[in-house]
Amino acid sequence: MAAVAMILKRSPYGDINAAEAVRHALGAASFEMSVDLILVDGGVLLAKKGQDDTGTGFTNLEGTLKDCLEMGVAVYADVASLKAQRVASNDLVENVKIVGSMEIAGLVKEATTTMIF
Amino acid sequence: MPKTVTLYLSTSPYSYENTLTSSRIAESALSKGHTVNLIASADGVYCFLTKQKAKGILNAEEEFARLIQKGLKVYL
Amino acid sequence: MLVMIKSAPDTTDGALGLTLAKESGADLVLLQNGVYFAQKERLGTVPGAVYVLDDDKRLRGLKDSEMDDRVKTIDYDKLTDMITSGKKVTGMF
Repeated sequence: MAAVAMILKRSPYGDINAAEAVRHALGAASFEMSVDLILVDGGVLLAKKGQDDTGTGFTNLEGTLKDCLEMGVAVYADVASLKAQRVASNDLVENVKIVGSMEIAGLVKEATTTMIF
Repeated sequence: MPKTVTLYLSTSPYSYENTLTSSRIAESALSKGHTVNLIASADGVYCFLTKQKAKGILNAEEEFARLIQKGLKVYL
Repeated sequence: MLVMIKSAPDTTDGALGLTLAKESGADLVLLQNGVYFAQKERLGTVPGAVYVLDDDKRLRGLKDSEMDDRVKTIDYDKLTDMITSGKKVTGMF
């Protein structure tokens, strides 16, 4: 089974990268690929709880991230980025794993393909 | 007193939040009776192509067509 | 004068917009990824008023409890009033 690592560096909504990352993660998971979604830099803001899209015209990416988790996508958030972006661990969507750079390096090393958003 | 608001849009329709921001500001200003110009430059011109198929996201063609009906003046 | 920032605090554009607002005494409007500047201890000393766009703040899950007390929340209609009533608008960074 193909193992795909997807690294999201960009914060959600300002540009399309976060939406594309979760879209492709969902797509890969639906083909029963093993998917690791790794959030670094502004990407960790994707996993911040309480996103409210009411009346904005956007798709709620917190909801799409939860869909990814339900589909079996493993979601990781870089601990240094969480600190830099001021996201507390209790502010994170449930089941997002907090990891350090060594663990992220290991995930990328194990993946057969890495996509960067 | 009505004024003229001129917006400058230079990014492609679905890669950035600017499409939505500019359309929301334009709609608000039009509803208040202001004259609203939108100058599309560089990749911003792609917002005005016909036959766009975007679904589940703000369709730039439909959104700006709606605003043009309300009085938005667009310059490419 | 009104300065509008749409870029995040960790970007050159965002920092440049904030510096301009500080040095010119302009009022500041935060939208898109610029809303993260509205979090506590990000703004520093700003002489003018600071506003954040409600849609963009809610979209990103920013809670009132994590916002700087000086920041006022506005909608697009209020933003339009500010744009059309001021003499000069600079942005968006």
